[in-house]
Amino acid sequence: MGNPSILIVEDESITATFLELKFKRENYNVVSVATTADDAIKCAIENKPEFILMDIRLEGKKDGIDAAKEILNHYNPKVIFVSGYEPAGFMNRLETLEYLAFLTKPVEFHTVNELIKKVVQK
Amino acid sequence: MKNIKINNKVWFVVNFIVLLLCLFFFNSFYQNERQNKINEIINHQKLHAKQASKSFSELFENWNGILNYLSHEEKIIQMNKNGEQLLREIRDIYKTSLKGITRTDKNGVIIFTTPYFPNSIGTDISKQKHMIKILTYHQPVISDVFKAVQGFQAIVIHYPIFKNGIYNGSIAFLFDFEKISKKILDQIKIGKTGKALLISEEGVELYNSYRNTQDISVFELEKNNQGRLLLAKNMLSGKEGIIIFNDYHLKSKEEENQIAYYVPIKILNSFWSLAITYSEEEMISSLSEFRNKLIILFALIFLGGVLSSYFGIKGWLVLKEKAAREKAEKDFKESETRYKSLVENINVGFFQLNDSQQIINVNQNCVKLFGYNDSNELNNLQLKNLLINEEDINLFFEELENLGAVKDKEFKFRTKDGKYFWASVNAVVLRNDEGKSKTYLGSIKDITENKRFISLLENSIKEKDILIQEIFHRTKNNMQVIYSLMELYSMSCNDVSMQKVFREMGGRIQSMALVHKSLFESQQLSNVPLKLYLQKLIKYLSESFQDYNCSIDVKLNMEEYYLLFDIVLPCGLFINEIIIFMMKNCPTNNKTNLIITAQETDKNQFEIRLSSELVINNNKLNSNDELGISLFIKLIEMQLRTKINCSFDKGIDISFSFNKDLYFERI
Repeated sequence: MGNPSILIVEDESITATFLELKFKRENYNVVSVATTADDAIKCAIENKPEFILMDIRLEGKKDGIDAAKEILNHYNPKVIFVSGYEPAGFMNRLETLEYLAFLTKPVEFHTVNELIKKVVQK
Repeated sequence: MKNIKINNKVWFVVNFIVLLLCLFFFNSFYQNERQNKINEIINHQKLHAKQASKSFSELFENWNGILNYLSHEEKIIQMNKNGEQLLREIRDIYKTSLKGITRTDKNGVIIFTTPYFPNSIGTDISKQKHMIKILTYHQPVISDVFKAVQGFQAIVIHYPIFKNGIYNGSIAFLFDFEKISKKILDQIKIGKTGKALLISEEGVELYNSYRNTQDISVFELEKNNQGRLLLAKNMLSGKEGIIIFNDYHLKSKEEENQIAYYVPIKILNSFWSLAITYSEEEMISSLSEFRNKLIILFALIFLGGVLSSYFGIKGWLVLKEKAAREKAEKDFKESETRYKSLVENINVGFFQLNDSQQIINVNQNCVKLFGYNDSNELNNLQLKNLLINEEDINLFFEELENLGAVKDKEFKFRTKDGKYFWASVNAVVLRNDEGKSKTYLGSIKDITENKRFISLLENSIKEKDILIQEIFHRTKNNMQVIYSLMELYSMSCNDVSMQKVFREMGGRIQSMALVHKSLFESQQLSNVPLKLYLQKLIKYLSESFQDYNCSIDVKLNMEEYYLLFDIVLPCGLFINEIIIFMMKNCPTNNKTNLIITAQETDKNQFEIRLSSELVINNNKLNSNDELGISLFIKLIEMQLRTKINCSFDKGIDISFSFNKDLYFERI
């Protein structure tokens, strides 16, 4: 099995940089770091990463859930939502989506890493 | 006017009172008349008695005068031929009443009589009752009535004769008492039963209208008649008086009340007592006519009273009902005025619909609500035509028909000028006797402003919710940024110990983030559920620091307590520090335990105790490695105004207590 590919969607640059570096250190194939929903959709459709670490609150009109919904219309990546909001506020919208997990910030890298590793190992 | 019914109980009581009054007055009048009658009879009796008394007194005074003269006459004292001649002459003069004259000697032996009775001369009569008296007392004596030898009822007056001051016998006049009494007493007739009774001082019956006297004591004659005995006793008192006594008739064995007036008659040195009796029965019978008239009179009065009471009560009831009706009308008018004022002045419209849900009546407020000028403009309109959405009303009427009333139903209505307003409608259905709906009554209240305020309020709450979420979001985003920064520094640092420090800092950030998370999840903005928070913290630490190869079996010995954010945050950081400290000092691949106890020890006082069997090496305790613990001990002591008790001698035993009301809720 090759290194898992991942798309990081995060509009906060420090967090995005930290995650990108961490994933790369762990030999992930970071296909891109997107800061808007539209960039994320475009990048995902083009690169079809296996995992998408999706921040919900993004720059622009669309948020992470809108982006995930659209991406999932094209293929089925494992989406891990990350947000400073609690998931209860998004339950209605998340019910119709297939996603791997919803992690609330501050998220530690090893938490995400363990999650992905478990999926990959399966 | 409706037929007023008299309460039978009241009428009976009134009639009973009228009857009692009639009986009282009847008795009063009758007794008064009876007393008048008794007084009249007594006066009649007095008159007769006094006349008789006077007649007796005058009669005996005359004879006394003659006897007194004769007793002092010398020829009578000597009782010679002249004396005898004088006595014969006197006898001849008064022979009608005077039946005889007797002269006795000093021993009570008859020495002369006229008319002459040969056998009587020399007869000793000293043993006769009146003779005993005169022989004893030498005073004039009158005898009781006795039967004379001639066969008539006689009475004798004896006068003593003194010779030289020495008793020398007596001179006596013999009278036919029957004639005297007939002349004086037989005239006494009061009604049918008015009778006379004459007794001597000794109680001997001298005259009785009922029978012939026999010189016998009345006490002997009437020994079986207590009433007559009582009369006799009273008569013998020598006084005048009135007595009502019960007379017993031996023959008829009947009793009857007698009214008697008795008066003493002075006779010489003695007295007789005369009583005039009258039957009460006769008196009552004489009152019968009066009584009957009185009965008829009072019967008429009673009848009049009954009728008066009937019509009086009825009249009173009519007046009472009239007064009550007038009061009720007054109250009703006042109530109506108040109600009308209320209906017209409160900010509520009232409407009435007919069976076809057409408006048939509205109040002025209702006219105003719909923007009309006159109620006639609204009349005959269908209520549904005033609604923005006409279909809304169908469910309303369906519910109204089923339940009979509906409350607080909200509708959007259209005004005359095309504007709209929200209203709350209440209504009841009034049915006729067959149970069919007849008319609807309802109220309508403009709630447009209320709804606007509620909407504003709801929006404000939503805004606040969003704001709170945003604050939480930004706080946690910032934590994420700080955590990311530290991780970036850690990645650029080759010093393993510094990397550990950065990592532990990350753990502390997570510890604080979990407090926020617990706060948000608890739906309270000030209080954090301590047990739930510690469970999350322990889970996080055990998952995040697995590489320390230390398994700590943490037991939370506590109930759920909600403590203020300002208290939970330092407690969480301190416990976080202790657990990481234990992990770092735990022997490789070893296991240990930690018991966290939290409890209220006193009112407002709260204690947290951490105890473990893990024994820490003294060298490690004194090394810089444990700076974190001493730092957080200071943090706890400052934040919670407390003193922490630490002991690492026989395992870990750390405890601290604080006032859980140290801080106030901020929100």
